[in-house]
Amino acid sequence: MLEALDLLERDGIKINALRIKAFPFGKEIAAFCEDHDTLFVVEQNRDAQMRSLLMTEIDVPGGKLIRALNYDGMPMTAAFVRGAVLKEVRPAKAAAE
Amino acid sequence: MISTLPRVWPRDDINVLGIPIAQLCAQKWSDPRQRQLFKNMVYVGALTALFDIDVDVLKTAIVDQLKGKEKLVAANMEAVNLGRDFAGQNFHCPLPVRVRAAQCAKGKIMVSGNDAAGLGAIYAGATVCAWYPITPSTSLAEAYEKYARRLRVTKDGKRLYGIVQAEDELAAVGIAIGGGWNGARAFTATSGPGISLMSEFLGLAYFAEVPVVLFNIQRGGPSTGMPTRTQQSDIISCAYASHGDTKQVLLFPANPSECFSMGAQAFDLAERLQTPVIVMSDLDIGMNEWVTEPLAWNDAHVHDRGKVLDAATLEGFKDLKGATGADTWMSTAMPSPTARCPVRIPARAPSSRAARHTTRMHAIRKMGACMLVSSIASAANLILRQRWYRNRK
Repeated sequence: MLEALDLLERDGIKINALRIKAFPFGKEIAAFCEDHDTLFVVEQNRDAQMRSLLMTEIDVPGGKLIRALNYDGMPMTAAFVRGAVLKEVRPAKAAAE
Repeated sequence: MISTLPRVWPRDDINVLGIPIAQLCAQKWSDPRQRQLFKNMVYVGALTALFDIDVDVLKTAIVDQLKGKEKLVAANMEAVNLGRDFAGQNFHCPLPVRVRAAQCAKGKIMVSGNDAAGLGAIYAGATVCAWYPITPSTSLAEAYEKYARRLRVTKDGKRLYGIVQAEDELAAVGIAIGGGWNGARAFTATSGPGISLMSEFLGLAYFAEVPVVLFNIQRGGPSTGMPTRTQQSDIISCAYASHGDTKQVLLFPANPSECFSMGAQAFDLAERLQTPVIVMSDLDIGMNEWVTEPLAWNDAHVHDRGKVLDAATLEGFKDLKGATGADTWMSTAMPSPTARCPVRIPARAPSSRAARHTTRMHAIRKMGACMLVSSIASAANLILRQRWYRNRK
Protein backbone atom coordinates (compact mmCIF):
# COMPACT_ATOMS: atom_id res chain seq x y z
CA MET A 1 0.00 0.00 0.00
CA LEU A 2 2.84 2.40 0.84
CA GLU A 3 4.37 1.67 -2.56
CA ALA A 4 1.02 2.46 -4.24
CA LEU A 5 0.81 5.77 -2.37
CA ASP A 6 4.33 6.64 -3.57
CA LEU A 7 3.41 5.79 -7.16
CA LEU A 8 0.28 7.92 -6.96
CA GLU A 9 2.21 10.82 -5.52
CA ARG A 10 4.50 10.63 -8.56
CA ASP A 11 1.30 10.86 -10.65
CA GLY A 12 0.44 14.03 -8.78
CA ILE A 13 -2.23 12.46 -6.61
CA LYS A 14 -1.65 12.80 -2.89
CA ILE A 15 -3.79 10.52 -0.80
CA ASN A 16 -4.25 10.16 2.95
CA ALA A 17 -4.43 6.55 4.04
CA LEU A 18 -5.84 4.70 7.00
CA ARG A 19 -5.32 1.04 7.78
CA ILE A 20 -8.06 -0.81 9.60
CA LYS A 21 -6.49 -3.00 12.26
CA ALA A 22 -9.51 -4.24 14.16
CA PHE A 23 -13.25 -4.72 14.24
CA PRO A 24 -15.52 -3.41 15.83
CA PHE A 25 -14.28 -0.08 14.50
CA GLY A 26 -12.69 2.58 16.70
CA LYS A 27 -13.61 6.25 16.73
CA GLU A 28 -10.58 7.10 14.58
CA ILE A 29 -12.05 5.21 11.65
CA ALA A 30 -15.37 7.05 11.85
CA ALA A 31 -13.50 10.37 12.12
CA PHE A 32 -11.32 9.57 9.10
CA CYS A 33 -14.36 8.65 7.01
CA GLU A 34 -16.12 11.85 8.05
CA ASP A 35 -13.08 14.00 7.22
CA HIS A 36 -12.83 12.78 3.61
CA ASP A 37 -15.30 13.14 0.75
CA THR A 38 -14.01 10.22 -1.31
CA LEU A 39 -12.70 6.99 0.16
CA PHE A 40 -11.17 4.07 -1.74
CA VAL A 41 -11.77 0.86 0.20
CA VAL A 42 -9.02 -1.48 -0.94
CA GLU A 43 -9.89 -5.12 -0.30
CA GLN A 44 -9.04 -8.64 -1.39
CA ASN A 45 -12.53 -9.96 -1.96
CA ARG A 46 -15.27 -9.70 -4.59
CA ASP A 47 -18.11 -8.34 -2.52
CA ALA A 48 -16.50 -5.32 -0.83
CA GLN A 49 -17.06 -6.84 2.60
CA MET A 50 -15.14 -4.19 4.56
CA ARG A 51 -17.03 -1.46 2.71
CA SER A 52 -20.29 -3.11 3.80
CA LEU A 53 -19.13 -3.15 7.41
CA LEU A 54 -18.22 0.54 7.25
CA MET A 55 -21.70 1.30 5.96
CA THR A 56 -23.61 -0.85 8.44
CA GLU A 57 -21.49 -0.32 11.54
CA ILE A 58 -20.54 3.35 11.46
CA ASP A 59 -23.03 4.69 8.90
CA VAL A 60 -20.54 5.87 6.29
CA PRO A 61 -22.59 6.88 3.19
CA GLY A 62 -22.09 4.26 0.48
CA GLY A 63 -21.73 6.92 -2.22
CA LYS A 64 -18.35 8.08 -0.94
CA LEU A 65 -16.92 4.57 -0.53
CA ILE A 66 -15.34 3.50 -3.82
CA ARG A 67 -14.58 -0.17 -4.26
CA ALA A 68 -11.00 -1.27 -5.12
CA LEU A 69 -11.34 -5.05 -5.22
CA ASN A 70 -8.69 -7.62 -6.02
CA TYR A 71 -9.82 -11.25 -5.96
CA ASP A 72 -7.72 -13.19 -8.46
CA GLY A 73 -6.18 -15.37 -5.75
CA MET A 74 -2.84 -13.60 -5.90
CA PRO A 75 -1.50 -11.00 -3.45
CA MET A 76 -2.43 -7.43 -4.32
CA THR A 77 0.18 -5.34 -6.14
CA ALA A 78 0.92 -1.63 -5.86
CA ALA A 79 0.19 -1.35 -9.60
CA PHE A 80 -3.34 -2.66 -8.99
CA VAL A 81 -4.07 -0.07 -6.29
CA ARG A 82 -2.63 2.72 -8.44
CA GLY A 83 -4.74 1.58 -11.40
CA ALA A 84 -7.91 1.41 -9.30
CA VAL A 85 -7.40 4.97 -8.04
CA LEU A 86 -6.43 6.40 -11.43
CA LYS A 87 -9.49 4.82 -13.05
CA GLU A 88 -11.68 6.94 -10.79
CA VAL A 89 -9.62 10.08 -10.40
CA ARG A 90 -8.46 10.78 -13.97
CA PRO A 91 -11.91 10.89 -15.62
CA ALA A 92 -13.15 13.09 -12.76
CA LYS A 93 -10.18 15.44 -13.24
CA ALA A 94 -10.70 15.55 -16.99
CA ALA A 95 -14.37 16.35 -16.55
CA ALA A 96 -13.52 19.12 -14.10
CA GLU A 97 -11.03 20.63 -16.52
CA MET B 1 9.93 -27.90 -28.34
CA ILE B 2 6.39 -28.45 -27.06
CA SER B 3 5.08 -26.33 -24.25
CA THR B 4 1.66 -26.01 -22.63
CA LEU B 5 2.34 -22.33 -21.78
CA PRO B 6 0.08 -19.92 -23.61
CA ARG B 7 1.80 -17.89 -26.31
CA VAL B 8 -0.60 -14.99 -26.06
CA TRP B 9 -0.87 -13.23 -22.70
CA PRO B 10 -3.44 -10.67 -21.59
CA ARG B 11 -0.56 -8.34 -20.64
CA ASP B 12 1.87 -6.71 -23.04
CA ASP B 13 4.74 -6.60 -20.52
CA ILE B 14 5.25 -10.38 -20.51
CA ASN B 15 7.84 -11.96 -22.82
CA VAL B 16 8.08 -15.72 -23.13
CA LEU B 17 11.49 -17.41 -23.41
CA GLY B 18 11.24 -21.14 -24.15
CA ILE B 19 13.74 -23.54 -22.58
CA PRO B 20 13.39 -27.26 -23.46
CA ILE B 21 14.07 -28.40 -19.89
CA ALA B 22 12.55 -31.90 -20.23
CA GLN B 23 14.54 -32.49 -23.39
CA LEU B 24 17.80 -31.28 -21.79
CA CYS B 25 17.25 -33.58 -18.80
CA ALA B 26 16.41 -36.55 -21.03
CA GLN B 27 19.66 -36.07 -22.95
CA LYS B 28 21.75 -35.62 -19.80
CA TRP B 29 20.44 -38.36 -17.51
CA SER B 30 19.30 -41.91 -18.28
CA ASP B 31 17.62 -42.48 -14.90
CA PRO B 32 13.92 -41.40 -15.21
CA ARG B 33 13.91 -40.27 -11.57
CA GLN B 34 16.90 -37.99 -12.09
CA ARG B 35 15.37 -36.65 -15.30
CA GLN B 36 12.33 -35.59 -13.27
CA LEU B 37 14.09 -34.36 -10.12
CA PHE B 38 16.65 -32.10 -11.78
CA LYS B 39 14.17 -30.18 -13.95
CA ASN B 40 13.75 -27.46 -11.32
CA MET B 41 17.48 -27.01 -10.89
CA VAL B 42 18.00 -26.69 -14.65
CA TYR B 43 15.39 -23.94 -14.58
CA VAL B 44 17.11 -22.20 -11.65
CA GLY B 45 20.42 -22.46 -13.51
CA ALA B 46 18.92 -20.75 -16.57
CA LEU B 47 17.64 -17.96 -14.31
CA THR B 48 21.14 -17.34 -12.91
CA ALA B 49 22.35 -16.60 -16.46
CA LEU B 50 19.28 -14.57 -17.49
CA PHE B 51 19.19 -12.38 -14.37
CA ASP B 52 22.92 -12.34 -13.63
CA ILE B 53 22.49 -14.08 -10.27
CA ASP B 54 25.72 -14.88 -8.43
CA VAL B 55 26.20 -18.66 -8.78
CA ASP B 56 28.26 -18.81 -5.58
CA VAL B 57 25.31 -17.46 -3.60
CA LEU B 58 23.10 -20.11 -5.19
CA LYS B 59 25.63 -22.83 -4.35
CA THR B 60 25.68 -21.69 -0.71
CA ALA B 61 21.88 -21.99 -0.62
CA ILE B 62 22.01 -25.47 -2.17
CA VAL B 63 24.64 -26.63 0.33
CA ASP B 64 22.51 -25.24 3.15
CA GLN B 65 19.38 -26.95 1.82
CA LEU B 66 21.12 -30.32 1.39
CA LYS B 67 22.80 -30.46 4.77
CA GLY B 68 23.55 -34.12 5.54
CA LYS B 69 23.15 -35.10 1.87
CA GLU B 70 26.42 -33.58 0.59
CA LYS B 71 26.70 -36.11 -2.23
CA LEU B 72 23.75 -34.46 -3.95
CA VAL B 73 25.37 -31.02 -4.14
CA ALA B 74 27.59 -31.88 -7.13
CA ALA B 75 24.67 -33.42 -9.06
CA ASN B 76 22.48 -30.38 -8.38
CA MET B 77 25.22 -28.00 -9.49
CA GLU B 78 25.59 -30.06 -12.67
CA ALA B 79 21.89 -29.42 -13.36
CA VAL B 80 22.34 -25.72 -12.58
CA ASN B 81 25.19 -25.47 -15.07
CA LEU B 82 23.17 -27.33 -17.73
CA GLY B 83 20.43 -24.66 -17.59
CA ARG B 84 22.96 -21.87 -17.26
CA ASP B 85 24.87 -22.99 -20.36
CA PHE B 86 21.69 -23.34 -22.43
CA ALA B 87 20.53 -19.84 -21.51
CA GLY B 88 23.98 -18.40 -22.21
CA GLN B 89 24.10 -19.99 -25.68
CA ASN B 90 20.53 -19.21 -26.75
CA PHE B 91 19.59 -15.83 -25.26
CA HIS B 92 21.19 -12.43 -24.82
CA CYS B 93 22.33 -12.88 -21.24
CA PRO B 94 21.95 -11.15 -18.93
CA LEU B 95 18.53 -9.61 -19.63
CA PRO B 96 17.88 -5.92 -18.92
CA VAL B 97 16.13 -7.02 -15.68
CA ARG B 98 18.76 -8.16 -13.21
CA VAL B 99 19.06 -9.40 -9.66
CA ARG B 100 21.50 -7.38 -7.58
CA ALA B 101 22.64 -7.80 -4.00
CA ALA B 102 21.17 -4.99 -1.89
CA GLN B 103 21.09 -3.93 1.73
CA CYS B 104 17.32 -3.39 1.83
CA ALA B 105 16.83 -6.36 4.12
CA LYS B 106 19.45 -5.29 6.62
CA GLY B 107 18.16 -5.63 10.17
CA LYS B 108 15.10 -7.55 9.00
CA ILE B 109 14.19 -11.20 9.37
CA MET B 110 12.60 -13.81 7.13
CA VAL B 111 9.63 -15.59 8.62
CA SER B 112 6.16 -16.78 7.66
CA GLY B 113 3.09 -15.37 9.39
CA ASN B 114 2.01 -18.77 10.70
CA ASP B 115 5.43 -19.36 12.26
CA ALA B 116 5.31 -15.93 13.88
CA ALA B 117 1.71 -16.42 15.08
CA GLY B 118 2.62 -19.78 16.64
CA LEU B 119 5.41 -18.06 18.52
CA GLY B 120 3.03 -15.24 19.46
CA ALA B 121 0.72 -17.80 21.07
CA ILE B 122 3.68 -19.13 23.08
CA TYR B 123 4.61 -15.61 24.27
CA ALA B 124 0.97 -15.01 25.17
CA GLY B 125 1.09 -18.04 27.46
CA ALA B 126 -1.28 -20.22 25.45
CA THR B 127 -1.28 -23.76 26.82
CA VAL B 128 -4.08 -25.40 24.83
CA CYS B 129 -4.11 -25.79 21.06
CA ALA B 130 -6.92 -27.79 19.49
CA TRP B 131 -7.04 -27.93 15.75
CA TYR B 132 -8.09 -29.83 12.68
CA PRO B 133 -5.77 -29.71 9.63
CA ILE B 134 -6.68 -27.35 6.83
CA THR B 135 -4.40 -25.53 4.40
CA PRO B 136 -3.22 -22.80 4.89
CA SER B 137 -3.54 -22.85 8.69
CA THR B 138 -1.91 -26.19 9.48
CA SER B 139 1.59 -24.77 9.72
CA LEU B 140 0.47 -22.43 12.52
CA ALA B 141 -0.48 -25.30 14.84
CA GLU B 142 2.71 -27.10 13.80
CA ALA B 143 4.79 -23.99 14.60
CA TYR B 144 3.13 -23.72 18.02
CA GLU B 145 3.96 -27.38 18.69
CA LYS B 146 7.56 -26.86 17.55
CA TYR B 147 8.09 -23.90 19.88
CA ALA B 148 6.10 -25.39 22.77
CA ARG B 149 8.27 -28.51 22.70
CA ARG B 150 11.28 -26.25 23.23
CA LEU B 151 9.89 -23.49 25.43
CA ARG B 152 6.97 -25.00 27.37
CA VAL B 153 8.64 -27.93 29.15
CA THR B 154 10.03 -28.20 32.67
CA LYS B 155 13.65 -29.18 33.31
CA ASP B 156 12.57 -32.76 33.96
CA GLY B 157 10.78 -32.89 30.62
CA LYS B 158 7.19 -32.38 31.78
CA ARG B 159 5.10 -30.70 29.09
CA LEU B 160 3.16 -27.65 30.20
CA TYR B 161 0.89 -27.55 27.17
CA GLY B 162 -1.75 -29.64 25.48
CA ILE B 163 -2.21 -30.08 21.74
CA VAL B 164 -5.21 -31.98 20.42
CA GLN B 165 -5.65 -32.81 16.77
CA ALA B 166 -9.40 -33.18 16.89
CA GLU B 167 -11.68 -35.30 14.70
CA ASP B 168 -13.12 -32.21 12.99
CA GLU B 169 -13.39 -28.43 13.28
CA LEU B 170 -16.44 -28.58 15.55
CA ALA B 171 -14.54 -30.63 18.08
CA ALA B 172 -11.43 -28.47 17.70
CA VAL B 173 -13.14 -25.21 18.62
CA GLY B 174 -15.18 -27.00 21.29
CA ILE B 175 -11.97 -28.18 22.96
CA ALA B 176 -10.46 -24.68 22.71
CA ILE B 177 -13.60 -23.13 24.26
CA GLY B 178 -13.48 -25.78 26.99
CA GLY B 179 -9.88 -24.79 27.66
CA GLY B 180 -10.86 -21.12 27.88
CA TRP B 181 -13.77 -21.94 30.19
CA ASN B 182 -11.41 -23.72 32.54
CA GLY B 183 -8.99 -20.79 32.69
CA ALA B 184 -6.39 -21.89 30.13
CA ARG B 185 -5.33 -19.67 27.28
CA ALA B 186 -6.61 -21.73 24.39
CA PHE B 187 -6.76 -21.34 20.63
CA THR B 188 -7.50 -23.03 17.35
CA ALA B 189 -6.26 -22.35 13.82
CA THR B 190 -8.38 -22.82 10.74
CA SER B 191 -9.47 -21.35 7.42
CA GLY B 192 -12.78 -20.25 5.87
CA PRO B 193 -14.49 -23.67 5.66
CA GLY B 194 -13.42 -24.33 9.26
CA ILE B 195 -14.94 -21.04 10.42
CA SER B 196 -18.26 -22.15 8.90
CA LEU B 197 -18.15 -25.34 10.94
CA MET B 198 -17.03 -23.55 14.11
CA SER B 199 -19.72 -20.89 13.94
CA GLU B 200 -22.29 -22.66 16.14
CA PHE B 201 -19.79 -23.14 18.96
CA LEU B 202 -18.62 -19.54 18.53
CA GLY B 203 -22.16 -18.49 19.42
CA LEU B 204 -21.88 -20.47 22.66
CA ALA B 205 -18.54 -18.84 23.53
CA TYR B 206 -19.95 -15.40 22.68
CA PHE B 207 -23.08 -15.87 24.77
CA ALA B 208 -21.34 -17.63 27.65
CA GLU B 209 -18.52 -15.06 27.59
CA VAL B 210 -15.75 -17.61 27.24
CA PRO B 211 -12.38 -16.26 26.05
CA VAL B 212 -10.91 -18.15 23.11
CA VAL B 213 -8.65 -17.20 20.19
CA LEU B 214 -9.11 -18.32 16.59
CA PHE B 215 -6.58 -17.82 13.84
CA ASN B 216 -8.35 -17.68 10.49
CA ILE B 217 -5.79 -18.04 7.70
CA GLN B 218 -8.07 -17.03 4.86
CA ARG B 219 -7.93 -18.69 1.45
CA GLY B 220 -9.76 -18.33 -1.83
CA GLY B 221 -13.46 -19.12 -1.74
CA PRO B 222 -16.35 -19.64 -1.89
CA SER B 223 -17.08 -23.10 -0.41
CA THR B 224 -13.93 -25.18 0.04
CA GLY B 225 -12.36 -22.84 -2.49
CA MET B 226 -8.72 -22.80 -3.42
CA PRO B 227 -6.26 -23.82 -0.71
CA THR B 228 -3.33 -22.50 -2.72
CA ARG B 229 -4.70 -19.03 -3.42
CA THR B 230 -5.03 -16.07 -1.11
CA GLN B 231 -8.08 -13.94 -0.39
CA GLN B 232 -9.57 -11.89 2.45
CA SER B 233 -13.17 -12.85 2.01
CA ASP B 234 -14.20 -14.13 5.45
CA ILE B 235 -14.55 -10.65 6.94
CA ILE B 236 -18.33 -10.54 7.21
CA SER B 237 -18.72 -14.22 8.05
CA CYS B 238 -16.25 -13.76 10.94
CA ALA B 239 -17.56 -10.37 12.10
CA TYR B 240 -20.99 -11.87 12.69
CA ALA B 241 -19.97 -15.52 13.07
CA SER B 242 -22.75 -17.67 14.51
CA HIS B 243 -26.50 -17.25 14.71
CA GLY B 244 -28.46 -14.45 16.36
CA ASP B 245 -26.96 -11.15 17.43
CA THR B 246 -23.24 -11.78 17.56
CA LYS B 247 -20.40 -9.41 16.88
CA GLN B 248 -16.97 -10.94 17.09
CA VAL B 249 -13.69 -9.12 17.72
CA LEU B 250 -11.40 -9.29 14.68
CA LEU B 251 -7.74 -8.32 14.37
CA PHE B 252 -6.19 -7.75 10.93
CA PRO B 253 -2.40 -8.35 10.79
CA ALA B 254 -0.63 -7.01 7.69
CA ASN B 255 2.64 -8.93 7.93
CA PRO B 256 4.31 -11.74 9.92
CA SER B 257 5.55 -9.31 12.60
CA GLU B 258 1.96 -8.36 13.27
CA CYS B 259 0.89 -12.02 13.20
CA PHE B 260 3.23 -12.34 16.18
CA SER B 261 2.19 -9.18 18.02
CA MET B 262 -1.54 -9.36 17.27
CA GLY B 263 -1.48 -13.12 17.83
CA ALA B 264 -0.19 -12.49 21.35
CA GLN B 265 -2.45 -9.48 21.92
CA ALA B 266 -5.52 -11.52 20.93
CA PHE B 267 -5.23 -13.60 24.11
CA ASP B 268 -5.14 -10.48 26.33
CA LEU B 269 -8.16 -9.04 24.52
CA ALA B 270 -10.08 -12.33 24.72
CA GLU B 271 -9.65 -12.48 28.48
CA ARG B 272 -10.24 -8.76 29.10
CA LEU B 273 -13.40 -8.75 26.96
CA GLN B 274 -14.42 -12.35 27.87
CA THR B 275 -15.21 -13.20 24.27
CA PRO B 276 -13.77 -14.98 21.23
CA VAL B 277 -11.15 -13.03 19.26
CA ILE B 278 -10.38 -13.95 15.65
CA VAL B 279 -7.00 -13.08 14.10
CA MET B 280 -7.65 -12.59 10.37
CA SER B 281 -4.47 -13.59 8.55
CA ASP B 282 -4.38 -14.97 5.01
CA LEU B 283 -2.54 -17.52 2.91
CA ASP B 284 0.00 -15.05 1.57
CA ILE B 285 0.98 -13.68 4.99
CA GLY B 286 0.58 -17.03 6.73
CA MET B 287 2.40 -19.50 4.51
CA ASN B 288 4.87 -17.44 2.49
CA GLU B 289 8.15 -16.32 3.99
CA TRP B 290 8.27 -12.52 4.23
CA VAL B 291 11.14 -10.16 4.86
CA THR B 292 9.79 -8.35 7.86
CA GLU B 293 10.67 -6.34 10.95
CA PRO B 294 12.19 -8.40 13.78
CA LEU B 295 9.58 -9.71 16.19
CA ALA B 296 9.28 -7.32 19.12
CA TRP B 297 8.36 -8.29 22.68
CA ASN B 298 8.48 -6.32 25.90
CA ASP B 299 9.73 -8.60 28.67
CA ALA B 300 7.99 -6.40 31.22
CA HIS B 301 4.61 -7.24 29.62
CA VAL B 302 2.11 -8.65 32.10
CA HIS B 303 -0.69 -10.67 30.56
CA ASP B 304 -4.09 -9.05 30.95
CA ARG B 305 -6.26 -11.83 32.34
CA GLY B 306 -9.32 -9.66 32.81
CA LYS B 307 -11.34 -10.07 35.98
CA VAL B 308 -9.96 -13.05 37.85
CA LEU B 309 -11.40 -14.59 40.98
CA ASP B 310 -8.59 -15.61 43.32
CA ALA B 311 -8.84 -17.76 46.42
CA ALA B 312 -9.19 -14.77 48.76
CA THR B 313 -12.08 -13.32 46.70
CA LEU B 314 -13.79 -16.68 46.69
CA GLU B 315 -13.50 -16.81 50.49
CA GLY B 316 -15.24 -13.42 50.52
CA PHE B 317 -18.08 -14.86 48.47
CA LYS B 318 -18.50 -17.56 51.07
CA ASP B 319 -19.00 -14.88 53.69
CA LEU B 320 -21.59 -13.25 51.46
CA LYS B 321 -23.40 -16.53 51.15
CA GLY B 322 -23.36 -16.96 54.90
CA ALA B 323 -24.63 -13.44 55.49
CA THR B 324 -27.61 -13.70 53.16
CA GLY B 325 -28.29 -17.30 53.89
CA ALA B 326 -29.04 -17.77 50.18
CA ASP B 327 -27.40 -20.27 47.90
CA THR B 328 -27.37 -18.00 44.86
CA TRP B 329 -24.02 -16.22 44.99
CA MET B 330 -22.30 -18.25 42.37
CA SER B 331 -24.86 -17.64 39.63
CA THR B 332 -24.55 -13.87 40.01
CA ALA B 333 -20.85 -13.71 40.75
CA MET B 334 -19.50 -15.64 37.81
CA PRO B 335 -20.28 -15.05 34.14
CA SER B 336 -20.78 -18.75 33.80
CA PRO B 337 -22.59 -20.78 31.16
CA THR B 338 -24.38 -22.42 34.05
CA ALA B 339 -25.81 -19.10 35.17
CA ARG B 340 -29.17 -19.78 33.52
CA CYS B 341 -29.44 -23.30 34.88
CA PRO B 342 -30.14 -24.27 38.48
CA VAL B 343 -26.70 -25.88 38.73
CA ARG B 344 -24.37 -24.82 41.48
CA ILE B 345 -20.62 -25.16 41.32
CA PRO B 346 -19.42 -26.34 44.74
CA ALA B 347 -17.41 -23.76 46.69
CA ARG B 348 -14.63 -26.28 47.26
CA ALA B 349 -13.57 -28.70 44.59
CA PRO B 350 -14.13 -32.36 45.57
CA SER B 351 -10.88 -33.91 46.65
CA SER B 352 -10.71 -37.12 44.67
CA ARG B 353 -11.05 -37.71 40.95
CA ALA B 354 -14.03 -40.03 41.56
CA ALA B 355 -15.75 -37.36 43.63
CA ARG B 356 -15.11 -34.75 40.94
CA HIS B 357 -16.56 -37.10 38.34
CA THR B 358 -19.67 -37.71 40.46
CA THR B 359 -20.17 -33.96 40.93
CA ARG B 360 -19.76 -33.33 37.22
CA MET B 361 -22.23 -36.07 36.28
CA HIS B 362 -24.67 -34.67 38.81
CA ALA B 363 -24.31 -31.21 37.29
CA ILE B 364 -24.80 -32.57 33.77
CA ARG B 365 -27.92 -34.49 34.81
CA LYS B 366 -29.29 -31.36 36.43
CA MET B 367 -28.61 -29.39 33.27
CA GLY B 368 -30.35 -32.13 31.28
CA ALA B 369 -33.34 -31.92 33.60
CA CYS B 370 -33.35 -28.15 33.22
CA MET B 371 -33.42 -28.50 29.42
CA LEU B 372 -36.23 -31.09 29.66
CA VAL B 373 -38.32 -28.77 31.84
CA SER B 374 -37.64 -25.97 29.38
CA SER B 375 -38.78 -28.18 26.46
CA ILE B 376 -42.00 -29.15 28.29
CA ALA B 377 -42.67 -25.48 29.02
CA SER B 378 -42.13 -24.60 25.36
CA ALA B 379 -44.48 -27.36 24.23
CA ALA B 380 -47.14 -26.23 26.71
CA ASN B 381 -46.73 -22.66 25.54
CA LEU B 382 -47.19 -23.75 21.93
CA ILE B 383 -50.39 -25.69 22.73
CA LEU B 384 -51.83 -22.71 24.62
CA ARG B 385 -50.96 -20.37 21.72
CA GLN B 386 -52.66 -22.71 19.22
CA ARG B 387 -55.80 -22.83 21.38
CA TRP B 388 -55.83 -19.08 21.71
CA TYR B 389 -55.47 -18.73 17.94
CA ARG B 390 -58.37 -21.16 17.27
CA ASN B 391 -60.62 -19.44 19.82
CA ARG B 392 -59.85 -16.06 18.27
CA LYS B 393 -61.16 -17.32 14.91
